[in-house]
Amino acid sequence: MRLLIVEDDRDMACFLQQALQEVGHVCDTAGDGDTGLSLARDGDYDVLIVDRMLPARDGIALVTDFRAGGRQTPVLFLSALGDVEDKVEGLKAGADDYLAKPFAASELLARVEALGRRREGAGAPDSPVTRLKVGDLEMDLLARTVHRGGVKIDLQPREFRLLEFLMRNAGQVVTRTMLLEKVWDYHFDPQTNVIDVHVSRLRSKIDKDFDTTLLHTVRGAGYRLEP
Amino acid sequence: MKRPLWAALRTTTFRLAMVNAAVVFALSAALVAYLYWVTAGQVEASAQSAAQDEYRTLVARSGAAIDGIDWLNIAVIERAAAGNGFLYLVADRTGERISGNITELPQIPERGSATIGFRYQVGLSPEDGSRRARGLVGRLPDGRILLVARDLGDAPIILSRASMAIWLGGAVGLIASLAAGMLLSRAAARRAEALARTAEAVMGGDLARRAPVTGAGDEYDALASRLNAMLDEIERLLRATREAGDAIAHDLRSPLTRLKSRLEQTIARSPDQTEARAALAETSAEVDGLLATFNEVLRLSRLETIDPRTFPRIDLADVAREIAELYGVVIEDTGFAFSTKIESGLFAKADRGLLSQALANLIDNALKYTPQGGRIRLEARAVSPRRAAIGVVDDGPGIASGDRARAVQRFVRLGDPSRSEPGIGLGLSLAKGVAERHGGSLVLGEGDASVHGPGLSALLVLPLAGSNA
Repeated sequence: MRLLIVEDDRDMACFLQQALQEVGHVCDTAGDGDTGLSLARDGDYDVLIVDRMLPARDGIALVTDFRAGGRQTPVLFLSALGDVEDKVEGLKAGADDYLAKPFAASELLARVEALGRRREGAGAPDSPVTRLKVGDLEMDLLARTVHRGGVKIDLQPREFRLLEFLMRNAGQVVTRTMLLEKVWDYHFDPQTNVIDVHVSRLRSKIDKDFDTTLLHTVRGAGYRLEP
Repeated sequence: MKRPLWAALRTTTFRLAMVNAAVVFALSAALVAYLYWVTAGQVEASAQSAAQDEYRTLVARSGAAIDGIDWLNIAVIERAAAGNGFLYLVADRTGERISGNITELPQIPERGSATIGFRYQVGLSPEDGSRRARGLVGRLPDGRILLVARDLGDAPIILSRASMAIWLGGAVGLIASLAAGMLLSRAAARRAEALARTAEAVMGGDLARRAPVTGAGDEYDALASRLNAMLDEIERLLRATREAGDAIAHDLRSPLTRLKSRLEQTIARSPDQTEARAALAETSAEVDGLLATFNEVLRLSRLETIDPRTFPRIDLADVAREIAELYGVVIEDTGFAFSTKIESGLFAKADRGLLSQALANLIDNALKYTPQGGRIRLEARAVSPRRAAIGVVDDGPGIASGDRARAVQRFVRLGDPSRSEPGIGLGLSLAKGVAERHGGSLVLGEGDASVHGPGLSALLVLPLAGSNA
């Protein structure tokens, strides 16, 4: 993917660039809000990674102005302010996701992937998705049923939502924090392995009686649903 | 510090006193003018016109008579003697008196006639006083001078005394209000000065300084007590920040020291790849711990700045159920018995995120301190028509009642200080902070007694918002 990093802290920008290029992304960088905005307007990027506090034009203003031009490119906010309020403010301004510093590189990569994938999906005709399919695992979003290889799998409502999120992001790494935020809507560090326990329960339902494993654990990062 | 007198002249109070004095003075002047107009003015005008009529009568008669001049003299003598209330004087062309009932001509006219107001002597000695009169004085065609006037009576005297009294009163009033204004303004200025002095002292770093409240219950007292309340709040926030800073410094110093020495050792020994890798991994884990501590402390401090008025009205039972759903499986998988006791319809103005976090911390605590196989229960129930309790009850060793106050302090971990449990001792402080932000409190008590001890109940007791709020 082609990415634009707008970050005034050079070490941080460098670290981001390295981490993203290592997995094959192409990155441009800008050190202030004005440069960032003009680059974002001129270039065709898949995802913008924007620091919240920038010289010349802060992150909120950058995203607001960028969106005012009708651009849909996904934006990931980075910020040292990790409060829910700050997140809400960032998302209101038009950012698509929000990552509080400090974060692990794996978290950043997973979120950038998820945003880039959303952009690909946006190109498709605007018909609401009613069925999801990963390998021989099928989910009917209307009937709210799940089958694997023709066998019906009974899921609790929350397990259903967890699986739905994993299926929508199939093939990508999703982190524990992403799951906690998107499936449970909690924005704090639970300190225990709550997500692991829920994921392993889900795994026992969808993978245990089948030969191939769909739900993989990615060490040091999170999970990936993949045939 | 003694305030210079001139400083009082610039105060608002003094200016107001001055405006007041000016208004009073202007009203007095207007009153004098009005009195004059309704009394003396009328008297003078009628005296003037009567005297003019008499003057014209005399002049007309003297002109019509054959021996006019003699006739005028006789008429004046006759009329003056008759005591008809008019004053007459006939004088020769030099102003020397010929006849009449007053002794002296107050003014010698050039030619024609003119109105005149004058004083004349009554009686023989000056002590008898003078009286005022108004009339007409003029030169007759033959060059002699005729004066006809009418006495103004007692009205001018009364009036002049009255207006003198009013002017004097006005002047005294002006001086008095000047003095009163000065005194008042100095008193008010002293109060304002006291407030200003407090502000200066606080700016200078004396955060404990408060504005004096005199007990007079006036607007200065109201202002002072508001100011003091504001200062209390600022001091509280600052203290919280300072405590957080101290706590961070205290709690981060030892891990940072460990970290540094490990890095130095690694560099000094120049070990092989695997050894360096292991050291780096350990260091990284330590940094994670540091960041977690840092985040917790920040979160705790930020809690103080959240405005509870923005909280929406939610059902505490939903918050409890969702947390139970998230943690229940974990608690059971870790080897505990988990149950819930949740009543519906506990509506309160609350923040779901904060409450969830507080509950998560309480569960975490219960997991750490309750021995394996213990029972953990999540509760949400009304404890009175206006309050609800939401929290965690376990059957572990509990906290002795004497230690409970200490247990909620930041960075305090009861029991063996060298224990290797992860955690930084902020769990209960955060739960307490969350409860207080919601206008409630964290209540620690005995839980379910078991072989391990009396158990612990850690409940956030929060005010309910009522069914129609």
